[in-house]
Amino acid sequence: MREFTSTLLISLLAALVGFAGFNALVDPFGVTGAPTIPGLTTRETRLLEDGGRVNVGDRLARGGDRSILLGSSRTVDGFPSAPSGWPGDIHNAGMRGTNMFELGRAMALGSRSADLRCVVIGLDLDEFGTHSKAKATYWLSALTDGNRAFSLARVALSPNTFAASVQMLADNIGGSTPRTPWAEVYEAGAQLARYEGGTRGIYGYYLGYRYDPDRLDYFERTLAALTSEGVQVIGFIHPLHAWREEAMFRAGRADDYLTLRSELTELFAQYAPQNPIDACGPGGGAVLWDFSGFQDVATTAAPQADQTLPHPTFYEPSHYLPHVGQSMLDRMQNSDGVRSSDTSAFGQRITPDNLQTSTTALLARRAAWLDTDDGAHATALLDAVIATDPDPELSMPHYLNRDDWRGLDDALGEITPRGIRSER
Amino acid sequence: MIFNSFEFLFLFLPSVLALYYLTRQYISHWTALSLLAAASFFFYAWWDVSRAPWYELTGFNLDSLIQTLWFVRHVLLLLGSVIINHIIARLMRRWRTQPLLAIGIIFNLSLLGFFKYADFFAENINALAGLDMPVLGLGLPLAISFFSFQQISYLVDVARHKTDPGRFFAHALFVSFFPHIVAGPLIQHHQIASQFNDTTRKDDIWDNLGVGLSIFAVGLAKKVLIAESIEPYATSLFSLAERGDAPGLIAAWIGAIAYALQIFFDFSGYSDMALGLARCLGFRLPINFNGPYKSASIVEFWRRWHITLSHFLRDHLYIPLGGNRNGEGRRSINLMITMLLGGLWHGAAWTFVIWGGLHGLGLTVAHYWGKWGPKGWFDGRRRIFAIALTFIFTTIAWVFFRAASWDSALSILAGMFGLSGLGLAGVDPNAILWILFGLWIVWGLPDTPEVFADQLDEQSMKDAQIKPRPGLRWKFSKRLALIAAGILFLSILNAWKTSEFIYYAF
Repeated sequence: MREFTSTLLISLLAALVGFAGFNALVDPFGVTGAPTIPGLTTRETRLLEDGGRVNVGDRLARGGDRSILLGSSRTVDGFPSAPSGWPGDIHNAGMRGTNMFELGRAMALGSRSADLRCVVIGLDLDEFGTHSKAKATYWLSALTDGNRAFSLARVALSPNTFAASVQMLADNIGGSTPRTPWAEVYEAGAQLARYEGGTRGIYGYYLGYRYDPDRLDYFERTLAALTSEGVQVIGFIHPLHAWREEAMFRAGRADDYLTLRSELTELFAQYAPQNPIDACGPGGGAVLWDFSGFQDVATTAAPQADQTLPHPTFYEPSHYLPHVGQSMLDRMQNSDGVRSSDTSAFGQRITPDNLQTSTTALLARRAAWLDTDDGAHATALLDAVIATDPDPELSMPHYLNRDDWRGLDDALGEITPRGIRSER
Repeated sequence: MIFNSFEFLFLFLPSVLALYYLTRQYISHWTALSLLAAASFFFYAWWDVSRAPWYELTGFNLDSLIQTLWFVRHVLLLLGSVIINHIIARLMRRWRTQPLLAIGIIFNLSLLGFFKYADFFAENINALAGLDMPVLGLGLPLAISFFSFQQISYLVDVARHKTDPGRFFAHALFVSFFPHIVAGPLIQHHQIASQFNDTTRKDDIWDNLGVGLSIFAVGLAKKVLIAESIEPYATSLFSLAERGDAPGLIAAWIGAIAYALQIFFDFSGYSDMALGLARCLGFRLPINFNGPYKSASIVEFWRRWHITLSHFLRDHLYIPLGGNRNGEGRRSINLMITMLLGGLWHGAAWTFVIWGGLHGLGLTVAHYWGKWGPKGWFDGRRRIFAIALTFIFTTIAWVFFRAASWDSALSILAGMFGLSGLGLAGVDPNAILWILFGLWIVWGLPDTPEVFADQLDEQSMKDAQIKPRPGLRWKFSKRLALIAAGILFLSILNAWKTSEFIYYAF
């Protein structure tokens, strides 16, 4: 028996130490502080992939940021990594493929820091759907429990980290990169193909989309906690290219979109009277901006068939370019001096008072765009797609469970109180 | 702290093992037991301590002291329960037993009733009588259902002179012993008191760790690798129904079977871990599961599922009610009362009562069938039909156990009986693969007690009425040591995203 037990313990310990040591040394998510190994770990090619949420969680757990910018891949790619002009700087903490479950936890974790003043968060229908609550690497990150030490242990002992480590080594040795979001010059036709392919796929996605009201409740609970502790929450609805928005309308999701927009407006208005300790922009404790709905940036015509120069605002229908994000940040501070509810400007602050007007303007913009050549092109494309009667992109719905709510309550319980925050 | 958490696996468990064995070796048996009791209270208190808003304290003053006591109120409740039950047990030994036993049982049931059922009854009375009784919203102290039953078991054993009240900290350890406090197995005091009192026992640390870690590895794998992988398919169905959707035939059966498998791998995984952890410390806990889905009747199911609860309900409820002593009719009534209360013990909701009622009905029918039904219908190879029928019945009953409301349970049952269409849309092929895998393990492999039959003591096997058949056995070879290490390694790597055990809610 002695041999059995010692073999068991020694082999288990050796496997754990070897595995953890390898992952900690390669450090694909940039959290362990391991030194760079020339030629092997110089390029951190996995930092902005799904595992990026580990890096985000680590940064938020360390605290120190005055403002954080949260959202999905639209935030990762659509804003500069170091946006300029924001009071006290803002950290781009976007996470690819995220949704409200992860975002709520990120808001709570960031607010544990007494330094935090503002959370800027990008929202759209995707964040409130029933698709998977979290990427696998979420469970490794400090977003789950706010504990950096435990997170490091999880990261070191994770098969996901191991896979990312191997990929990163291969990238460094082979010279490849995981993905190139956009380029300076494209082959003729490549951009249009990406727009058309993307729109076809998105139509199927919206056909199978299911809205989950629990995720809005989850967000509300988070919003209530943050604003009551003096953190200003600035929400914004992402711009999507008109082709994608039209795919959403044609797939029958306009009602979901307009309802969500309306519910978010009510929610933000409810918490706007909370007094932020140190606001980053006008509008009170909770402010909602809308950059969606066929606005000028989004109705810039899709690339022509022979176009090689990049599209000026979107690199494909779902993702805008960083200069667009920067202009959104400027707008949310109202630094351009244009009235916040002006429907002719890019981005309007929406409140219950102007919700109806802005919705009417949105529908009018859509109608106007449909009359353009670009609108006709998208319509023809979608007509052809619909004629094939495509199957909806169905996946098993995921719902928040008891542990998810309890975890959120625990995380919200650890937010730095207003009194302590105001002393910093 | 849950068994598959970082803090438990890498901090709590190694520290407790080291301290316990060192103390027992170099100081004394009783000091080691006191330390184990203290560690178990710490384990229990961790839920409160790790979640309490400590930042609200304002320094060393009376307010902070009161707040701190409030933060750890549940562990104080546990401590209070131990103190009062210990006093009652001591008094029972000195004076007349019966009135004091009654007082003790009423005390424990009142505690359970107040925290677990007060709101349930208030809501129902309000609904029925149109009253406005206050709903207290106290929150359920962790494991109160289990430790209340442990205390009753302790008092009954003392009253029946099966055991002495014992030392205070040995009693505290009996109730709070960290491997079993949260979700069992339910131990009768006499089953463990003799082990606590055995001061001369020689510790074979290699044997304890070898056997204990092997059983723990199997339990951890059941929970982390299987139950957690199946959980989303079950949750998906029940959440869908809660939102008012009507799942079709295929989707409903997949979700319901997924839950039947999830709760088995979750709860039996927990029980295996409890057995393994206790064994690491040299203690033997009673067996709680023995391949329940291999049962050919509901009677057999309850001899294999949550065995220690079945024994508790039998010894402390069914038999005192009269058992089968007064004819078939009376037996049916006793069975039904026992199972309805057993259902209610799981949770303060009518869905649990219905679940218990269905099992009461199933037990009654099984008894009548055994007595007056045709003989030999399910013998030999046809036993497989009885097993399938029993599994279908338990799966249907689980719908009530898991559903958050009557409406959602009915919606799922409508789907399972084909009243809402075929329901193929959105069915995940992975769900089918996981279910097939789970069923293969459940029906194709022996359960943990049979695999470890050579290592578990005879009394535990006898208590659980297990007669192991020839088949797969755990051998303590180098190859199996590597396999156990591999299972533990894989389970630890996947342990981070796991949720609490289902039975932690009870």
